[in-house]
Amino acid sequence: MNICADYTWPSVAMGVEVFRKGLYELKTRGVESRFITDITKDNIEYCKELMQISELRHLDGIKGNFAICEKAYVASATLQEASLLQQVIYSNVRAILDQQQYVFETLWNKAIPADLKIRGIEDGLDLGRTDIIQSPRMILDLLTNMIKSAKTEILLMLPTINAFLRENRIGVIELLKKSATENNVNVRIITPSNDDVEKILQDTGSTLAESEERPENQKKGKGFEVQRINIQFKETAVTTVTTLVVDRKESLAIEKTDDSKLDFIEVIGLTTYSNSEPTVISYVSIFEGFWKQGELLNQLEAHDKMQREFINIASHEMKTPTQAILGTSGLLKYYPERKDELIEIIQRNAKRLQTLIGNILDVTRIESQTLMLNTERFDMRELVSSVIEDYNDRAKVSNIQIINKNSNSINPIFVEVDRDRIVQVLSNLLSNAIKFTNQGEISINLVEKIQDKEGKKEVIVSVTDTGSGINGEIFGRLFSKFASKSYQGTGLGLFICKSIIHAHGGRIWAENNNNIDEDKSSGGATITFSLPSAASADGEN
Amino acid sequence: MDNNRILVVDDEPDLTQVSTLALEYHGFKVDSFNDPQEALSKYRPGLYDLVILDIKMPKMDGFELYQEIKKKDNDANICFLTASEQYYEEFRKKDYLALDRNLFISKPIENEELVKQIKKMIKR
Repeated sequence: MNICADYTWPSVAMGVEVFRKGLYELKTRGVESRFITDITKDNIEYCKELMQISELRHLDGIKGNFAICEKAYVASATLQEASLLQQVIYSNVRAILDQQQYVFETLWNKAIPADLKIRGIEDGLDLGRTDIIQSPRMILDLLTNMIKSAKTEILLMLPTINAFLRENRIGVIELLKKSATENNVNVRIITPSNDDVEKILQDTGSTLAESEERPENQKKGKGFEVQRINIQFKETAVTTVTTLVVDRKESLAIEKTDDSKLDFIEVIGLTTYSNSEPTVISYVSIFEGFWKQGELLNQLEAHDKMQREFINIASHEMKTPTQAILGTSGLLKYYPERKDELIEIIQRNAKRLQTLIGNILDVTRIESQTLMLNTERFDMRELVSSVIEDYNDRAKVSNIQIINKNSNSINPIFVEVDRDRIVQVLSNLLSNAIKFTNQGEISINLVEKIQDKEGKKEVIVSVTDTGSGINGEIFGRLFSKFASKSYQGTGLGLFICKSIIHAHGGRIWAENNNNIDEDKSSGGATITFSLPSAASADGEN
Repeated sequence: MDNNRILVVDDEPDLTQVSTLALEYHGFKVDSFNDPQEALSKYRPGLYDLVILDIKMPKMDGFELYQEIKKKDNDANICFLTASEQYYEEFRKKDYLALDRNLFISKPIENEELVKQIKKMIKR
């Protein structure tokens, strides 16, 4: 006995005593049976019981019902609980039986085992359907409709340049751009790239850089990002399938017959559509894998570029004082009478070399995250005074006065930090201020402030000069490596300062003075940093 | 030899001083500048047997200065004394001239070796 019936049938078959008894009798009589139904969340328990009687399979959206055995075929449009059926089709003609048996076999082969569907429902997986489509026209329509229907996300993975060009010719790239801008859909494309591809992407107004610059909060739900990577590997078979995933609910995998041609319809091969969660999620994870790979590749290239730049600058900065030392020491034998003057040049350049080597080692420690802090508790006022004292002579030579705005304060301001490192930061800020100030003054201000609602305090130190101010060109990346406008310097100093302050849990920032107070537009810049206060909680310092 | 006159342009005062002293000791007449723009404005065509330029300088780099000097004095004999090797490649890419590597002297260099190279360049 073979039965194919809609989603209402299991509850009738198992819930209505007369049918239930009849079906169990089939089993006791040893009648071989096969059932097909539409298993849903609601009839799942009845289906489990049906599985005790016979092998059960699932098909999506079955319409109507029919049963067939060796002798008879009966079909009805609807099933009604315990009431007589209004209309049935009955036949015992052999040809009809054979035909209907064939229909049942076809459906049986298309159906999936019940336990698979039941597990899918119970595990929360929505087992949908997977279709193979062969009509190019249908595939084209499906592709565009899927893109148009997208609500949150579109992922498109293109295996070749020509695949990109074909998609573009049928308007897919334009459509994707529209989804991103008009419907706030997050569109991501993985494609190999060349000049043609770049031109098209530019025309649709997208660049990877643009997406990176977008603030994090705008990234969700809106965007058009392109990862330019080649997903074909020589070691494995060549990937030729274009995959599209929409809203993580539907996927389309399009094979092609001849990549060299540019007509979408002509090239299209077998295509698999799926809205079955496991399949769709697999495509998503393949996509995300390649996407991540592309991101890592970009990071690696940026890192590589920075590394090369670092080596170039560092070697230039090392060779310059070395040249001075080598040349000047050679001069000692030509001009013994100018010994003192020459030795001074040698010392100055040896010191420059020493600073540079220290900076490079610090950067290495920062980047390998091995910067160690030896913290101790002390009065910050005392540190500021002693650093100013060290720099006073140097400043006077350049006609600069260093003003300590806290020289009269009585209360100590305690911090618990690595003293040497904070001296390094303050020294760096002071020597920068001296370097960029021709004459005038540099003032250092130190205050303790309540940082947040819980009354946590922080110590704020600012260094203000009347110098040339910070060049607008580098203002935004002032604290990154190599952001130097000076031709004597590696551009490492402020990067190191920032890293030291961050390691202490503080902040550091810069302002040009004319932006702070237009009345007193004395020019120059102010660099400020904060450190957590070490004042005890009850306010005792 | 006594008549050979050299122009040295380098933004590092210590380095122009070293070069000047070393070359003067070996009998050259030397003019030096730390500001490339000043060097250009005071440049007198035909005066120098050799012009030695640093490359990485503020306001105007050595390549620009090279071009500007050549505009004023097409016959100028110019070489580079540089701490940056990368610039040679960059310069070659810019396709100014078919410059050979011999026009680049690398820092650091000892005084005697510098003098030797300079003599070679003046002879050409």
